[in-house]
Amino acid sequence: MAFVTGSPRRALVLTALLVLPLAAACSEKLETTGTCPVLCPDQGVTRQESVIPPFSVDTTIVGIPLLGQSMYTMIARAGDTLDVRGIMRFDAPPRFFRPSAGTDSTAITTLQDAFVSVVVDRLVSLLPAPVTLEMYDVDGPGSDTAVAVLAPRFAPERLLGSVVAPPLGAGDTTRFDTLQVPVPTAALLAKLAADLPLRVGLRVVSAGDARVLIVPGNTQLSYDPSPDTTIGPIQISARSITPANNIQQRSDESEFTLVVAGSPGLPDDVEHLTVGGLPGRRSLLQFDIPRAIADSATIVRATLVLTQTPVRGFRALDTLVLLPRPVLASPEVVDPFRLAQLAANPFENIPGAEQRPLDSLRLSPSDSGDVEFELGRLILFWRENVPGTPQRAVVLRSQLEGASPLAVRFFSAQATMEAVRPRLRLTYIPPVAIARP
Amino acid sequence: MLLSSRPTPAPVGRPLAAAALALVALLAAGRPTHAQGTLGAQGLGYPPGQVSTSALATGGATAEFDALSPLNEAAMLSSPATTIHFQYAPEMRETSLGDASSSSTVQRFPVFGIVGRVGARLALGVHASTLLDRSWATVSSGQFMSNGAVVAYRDEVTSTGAITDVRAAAAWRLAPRLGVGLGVHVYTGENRTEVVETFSDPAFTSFVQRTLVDYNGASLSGGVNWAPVRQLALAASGRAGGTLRMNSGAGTKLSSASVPTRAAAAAQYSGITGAVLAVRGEWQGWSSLDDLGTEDGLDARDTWDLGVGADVAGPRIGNSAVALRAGARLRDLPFAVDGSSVRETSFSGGLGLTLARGRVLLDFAAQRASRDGPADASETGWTFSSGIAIRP
Repeated sequence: MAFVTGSPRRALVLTALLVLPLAAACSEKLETTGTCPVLCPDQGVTRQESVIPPFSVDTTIVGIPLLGQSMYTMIARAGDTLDVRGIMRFDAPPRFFRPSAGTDSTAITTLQDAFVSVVVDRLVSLLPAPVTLEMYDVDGPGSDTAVAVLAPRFAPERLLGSVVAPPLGAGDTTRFDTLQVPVPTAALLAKLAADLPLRVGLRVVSAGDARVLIVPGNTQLSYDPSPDTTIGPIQISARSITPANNIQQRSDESEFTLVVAGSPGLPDDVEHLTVGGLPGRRSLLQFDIPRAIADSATIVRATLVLTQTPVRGFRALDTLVLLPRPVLASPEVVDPFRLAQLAANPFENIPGAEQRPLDSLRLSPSDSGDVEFELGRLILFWRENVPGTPQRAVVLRSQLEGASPLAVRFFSAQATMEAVRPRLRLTYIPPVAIARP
Repeated sequence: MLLSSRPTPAPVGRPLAAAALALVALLAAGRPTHAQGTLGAQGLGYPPGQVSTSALATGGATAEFDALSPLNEAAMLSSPATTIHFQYAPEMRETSLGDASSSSTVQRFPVFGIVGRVGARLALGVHASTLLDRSWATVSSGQFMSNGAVVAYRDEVTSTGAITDVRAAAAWRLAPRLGVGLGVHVYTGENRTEVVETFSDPAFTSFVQRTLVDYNGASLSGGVNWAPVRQLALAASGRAGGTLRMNSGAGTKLSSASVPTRAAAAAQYSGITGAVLAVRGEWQGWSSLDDLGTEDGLDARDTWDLGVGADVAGPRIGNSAVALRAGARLRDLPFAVDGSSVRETSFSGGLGLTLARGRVLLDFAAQRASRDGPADASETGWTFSSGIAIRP
């Protein structure tokens, strides 16, 4: 044999040859089935299903969003049933201006023109035909947010001006449009001279149903104190200076929706859960999952089944996007209104994270029947992202809450008919006893 | 004894580099284990046998005389100098069940340790060896009905980890042909299991369960080697006493059981020039581990392990002879399947190289094993074992 009298070099070759099978073993990576379950004892994953009445609490919370916290300031009219108006406050308009560079400022005594501009989101507005927006001076004594006080101020003698909002034509995809409502210069000068705020109210005048959704934060008062074209107009955003002791409330009341007549057909009774409408409503659902399942098993599917009951008074084509949102409050928070407020998409601002922990549903208010919500990802979120004992609660809210009269209703756990009460269909897997065979 | 009988080679240099390269290759080859639904890895796992590569090549027959196999403490006296050794032994196996079969590769590092000599009569050593290797993975799939719809699922179940036997031992040469030894064993290790079930329907979220258990325990062992005549050596060893505990990852005791009692005897004949013939028998009381599992989970059984083998001086490389080895082994595995014991029959062969003037010992072995379980289940496997021993 060649290596009988071989050298160390041959030993190296021999060693290399012997290592080859080891290297071959390392490269193996195989996945096959076929021998389970006979040779795979103790690995049985058993799935169990259960349908339970899900809630310890289910209730409708009325009045969310709070005044001034809607994503739009809505101005709407629907026959004799819906009347929603907008209030904008310009509480501290500048009374002085600098006529030219290097000169002292001087009081405004003349105005070239004045107007209030609003930015309308046309795609979510309902503008089947031209509608007129009328603007009124709503400033005056008394409670400055109460409907009973403010609504009568939309009177002819307080009318400041109006503007026509064009309809949204077929194929028109222009989303934002700026409308300018003229303000009589004399009226504004009088306000400036008396150091009074300018508080205006907008309402829709339309033969048919109309909804104008104004983007808050973009509403401005503009007035030009000088004929000198080198001096630009004064432009200020809506700003409230009352109440003096609450900066958040001042911000909210700078521009808000005034619901003179809310959504029709929404009685708040215990047999129903309501989502949407005006004033805005959310439904709070606090789950009561049996401890035997919640503490030891893993829930792999959770389907909430609600039975919808129709809401009359809306067009058949009207739809509402319903957003289930987990309550993110700590377990110490028990007030239903507060819980309903503290619901949000926990991943909203996390780049790359799951953007929708729960699927949204588009529903028509006039529909009826069972509606299923898949809550599996919410269960996973509770399990993996919330330390301690999470609030096992979900809030159902409308995507355009506070800015749409549309609402949907479901039977609650207090419904007389048991078959239409909410139920939770669970698929869960008990622990697999594999570690200790 | 086999180690001490090797002639000392001459040149140093390239062979040492080759050994180092081989070691690097072995270490770099480490990968996660893959095993599925096998006959061998039932219960608490597969017992690699706690034998070195050279002993594996002889069907385990020489293990009672092998300083690198942590079974008989007295065998440490056969090491002529301080020796550090390491073993790598991947197994490629195919499991058949009826018409279905599955292949898997398991990678093991079953034995490593150090044996030191203190004078001519005393040897001390510490070894870590795999008592039970519970590394496997299974993949299965199926369908079930949910709310009137068919949903497909896929299960992936993985277990990694092992129970490791760490032995500290001392051996004393009472007479020129009689050595005895005692060992203290500490058992350690953990098993990590993961069960993942995924679904075809996105309305379902995945099921993931990860579990960790760890082990601790202790026992005592002893061994004796005696050569009544020059050509014949006899050996016996055993392990007894002690408790093995299984704890949860949080440290809570889940169960405990007696460490399996072990008794072994072997004989080795060297009356033929350049050849050593050996036979060995071992009994282990694995059934004591039944208490470690759930009430009806483990089906642990006492086992016999019989081996016969030969180690002969082969062709020379440089000044050293290549050791050629062969053996056969018949043993039961400790954990039954479906009420049936699993029996393993294996044939093995290998060789040993002595390099760098005896400072580096390289052993290679290949073992072909066949395992029979319940009626239509069987398994075959190739184990390629390599061991390196360095005498600094």
